[in-house]
Amino acid sequence: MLTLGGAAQKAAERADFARWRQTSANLLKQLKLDYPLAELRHWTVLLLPLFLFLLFWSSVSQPVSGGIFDTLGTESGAELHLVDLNSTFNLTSSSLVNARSLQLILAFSMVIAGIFAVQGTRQNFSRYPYVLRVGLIYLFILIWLGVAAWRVTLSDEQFIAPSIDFLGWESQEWSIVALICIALGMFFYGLLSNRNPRNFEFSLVLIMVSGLVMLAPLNMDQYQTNVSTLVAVWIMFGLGMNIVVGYAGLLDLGYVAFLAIGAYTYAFLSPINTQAKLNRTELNDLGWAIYIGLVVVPLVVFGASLAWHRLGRGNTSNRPAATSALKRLAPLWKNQPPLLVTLALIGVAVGATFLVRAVLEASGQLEVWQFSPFLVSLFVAMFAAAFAGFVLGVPVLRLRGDYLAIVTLGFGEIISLSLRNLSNITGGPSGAVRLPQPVADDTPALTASLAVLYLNVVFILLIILLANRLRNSRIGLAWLAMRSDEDIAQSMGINLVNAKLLAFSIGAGFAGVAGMLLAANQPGGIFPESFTLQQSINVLALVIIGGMGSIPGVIIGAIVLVGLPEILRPVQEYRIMAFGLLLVVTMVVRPSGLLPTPPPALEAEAQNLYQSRREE
Amino acid sequence: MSLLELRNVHTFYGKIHALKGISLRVEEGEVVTLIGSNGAGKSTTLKTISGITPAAEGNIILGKQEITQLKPDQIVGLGVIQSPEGRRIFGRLTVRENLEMGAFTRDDKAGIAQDLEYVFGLFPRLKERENQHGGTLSGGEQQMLAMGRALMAKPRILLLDEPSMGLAPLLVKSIFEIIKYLNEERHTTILLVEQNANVALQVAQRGYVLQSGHIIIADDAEVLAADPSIREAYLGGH
Ligand SMILES: Nc1ncnc2c1ncn2[C@@H]1O[C@H](COP(=O)(O)OP(=O)(O)OP(=O)(O)O)[C@@H](O)[C@H]1O
Ligand SMILES: [Mg+2]
Repeated sequence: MLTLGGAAQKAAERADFARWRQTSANLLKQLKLDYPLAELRHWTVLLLPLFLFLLFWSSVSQPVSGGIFDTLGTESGAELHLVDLNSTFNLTSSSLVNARSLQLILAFSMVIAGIFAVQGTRQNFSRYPYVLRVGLIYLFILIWLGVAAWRVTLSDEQFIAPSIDFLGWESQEWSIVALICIALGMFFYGLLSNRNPRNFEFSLVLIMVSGLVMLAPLNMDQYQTNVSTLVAVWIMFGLGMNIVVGYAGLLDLGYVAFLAIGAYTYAFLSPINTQAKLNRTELNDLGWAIYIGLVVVPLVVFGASLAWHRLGRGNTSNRPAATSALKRLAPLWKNQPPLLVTLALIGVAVGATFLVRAVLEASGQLEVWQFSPFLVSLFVAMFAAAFAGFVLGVPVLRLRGDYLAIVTLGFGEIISLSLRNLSNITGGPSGAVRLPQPVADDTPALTASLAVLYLNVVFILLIILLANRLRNSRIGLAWLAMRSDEDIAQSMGINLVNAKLLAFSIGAGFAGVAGMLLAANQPGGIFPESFTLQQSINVLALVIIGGMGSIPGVIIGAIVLVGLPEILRPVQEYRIMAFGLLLVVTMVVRPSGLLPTPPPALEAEAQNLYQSRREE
Repeated sequence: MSLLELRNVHTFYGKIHALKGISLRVEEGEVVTLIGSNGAGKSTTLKTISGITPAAEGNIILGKQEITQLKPDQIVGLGVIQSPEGRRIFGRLTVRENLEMGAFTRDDKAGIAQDLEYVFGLFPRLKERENQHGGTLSGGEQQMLAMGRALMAKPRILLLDEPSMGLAPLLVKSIFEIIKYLNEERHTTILLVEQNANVALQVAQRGYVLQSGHIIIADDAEVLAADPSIREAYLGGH
């Protein structure tokens, strides 16, 4: 009996032990960190240089007053060779730890903490209730909005509220409306993004990074602001190039042409005889003509062809091969409601603006509501560049690899030479000078620059969202397939002509926006030297160094390629050499780029999470 | 009425006259094989049907519709799906993405998901390697992927170009079993190009023999398999 009792007890103990082991194993499983760690590393690598870059900028004081871009362009190779300021640097050890840098460290810690939070929810996706996940997103959105609102209420001298003159409003009104719009947008985006863990993570990081950006430039001076804007412009430029080269695999060596088209479009459309600041007048006549020709007409035609396709949907085989290019492009959008809706919304928004304007004009209240050419220029620059991309695309459709590179190189040179030699249109070598900035009159110079910087950040976010959507859409898949093997892509039913034209036009459109924003921050003017082969090569290098086809890669690439030469100024004449060495070392150590698209294993993990989340 | 018919089709590569008046037809639900020596024009025939190397002369008719002038993507849209020779898969896309590419022209999500399961059922090896890059698969797996991708397009007629090329005998056998299964159980119409004429003639109902751009013999598969001159030329003489 005794032995039997002992056996029973032993069995019970063993069962207990087994249960304990089971729970602890489960616990361990929950804590399994390999995937989050890999992902964390991925994002830390992304953010660290950004942080260091900002830290550096926040600790360098810049005694030279006045816009340095005023002198830009009178030197050769203007783009990357800003006025040499290294002698004026005041890089003492105490300047590295000051209020600004502490602020940055704080912001950076917030981002890291946020990433950990994301990882926590990611890991236990099927465990935590939906409410909690949504809650987390909104918590961050709230923090973000709080920071933004706080900045809006700060006084004018602290250059806080971006006084961007979209509709002629005062800066604070504008800021409040913008905040409300952003809040609404984030609300809906938050709801949508929770459907897929990858989007969920992406949006969280996006919100946090933009929060960081909100905080960062609090006390930046003119030089720092200008360089940051330049980096921002190059990020947009690189994102466009990333579509052409990274996604679609089309090597374009004349890509700077689209940047130039964007920039010069802004110059064309600016009111003639303007002072350095925008005189809130009408768009000039040329501007209206271009606007109607490039924006209104294509939108109408596109809408009509789309309707034509929608109405006639069903058995495509009964229809003859469509005749116009637009009609043939339409099926590519067939499964792309987001893109469609975006385009339609742009059209509606622009239309509505003009309608409101017309009504106000009739009722005699126009002084309050005068329309800034900035918004119009934006669309025109985008469409003009996209159209140029389309035009370039048509003749080079059948070319591949080396041949394509040569022809696009030629195209870039043609544009570059035209800028220099068509003096009566472009201003020739002395450039298109005294461009207005999109800010209200009598805004201090630094405030204006900061406003443009924020504008840039907003556009970067928009372009990132768009590029990310494209990558994950049918079109993105078609591009990747085409990059992998054109012939097979074709026999899978991909229309190569459409896919290539679309890659060229969308990539060029992004570059157009970048160029337009570049010009918007150069009241001194834009010059042909800023749009040469050198820039095409830079943007290609940027995409390759960052990692082909990777959006975080482009951001890092731009910071390294555009920001680093500035950071290296203290080493004076060895600067370019050190820079070159760094590039070589980078490519040897990380041959597929600094931040390549995550390896399939990570993707697989994300996919599994998605599955388990869906089954929940 | 035949599902696919070629009437006196001529195709050129620049000045090279690759197809010199090919006429053939494939009935609904049939397996038809195209045999011939290297360079006879077998692949060219398939590419011409798919519109990749358009016919310079002659007509290609699918059901009641003339497809000679259509673009490759339009022809794919009509359900004429080719699995090209030489394991041409998307090396930089994952197995799953490769399969999704096959369904590029379709927009019935439910049907695509169903067919994905079906392909994974047919090739369990692919399911195991779902998230691996296509380029890192073994030769045999790549061949399976190429076939699976073609199936994802829900073909009305499947054009298979040498599906057994370079495979171990055991794999060749299973590939042909799948072809047979597709035809008998799924009622897929197949036009099969094969070097492995022996096996091809076993699964096919009819066959054509191609020689330097001409069709020289057209007959039932059994008759071809028994024909001594064909055995001599294409079946290794025994
Ligand atoms: N792209 C091309 N350019 C020029 N000639 C070509 C091209 N492709 C094929 N040919 C020629 O056309 C002829 C038929 O080629 P095809 O590829 O159809 O042969 P095949 O019957 O498939 O041979 P194999 O059994 O070796 O695959 C050959 O003489 C070949 O050299
Ligand atoms: Mg062949």
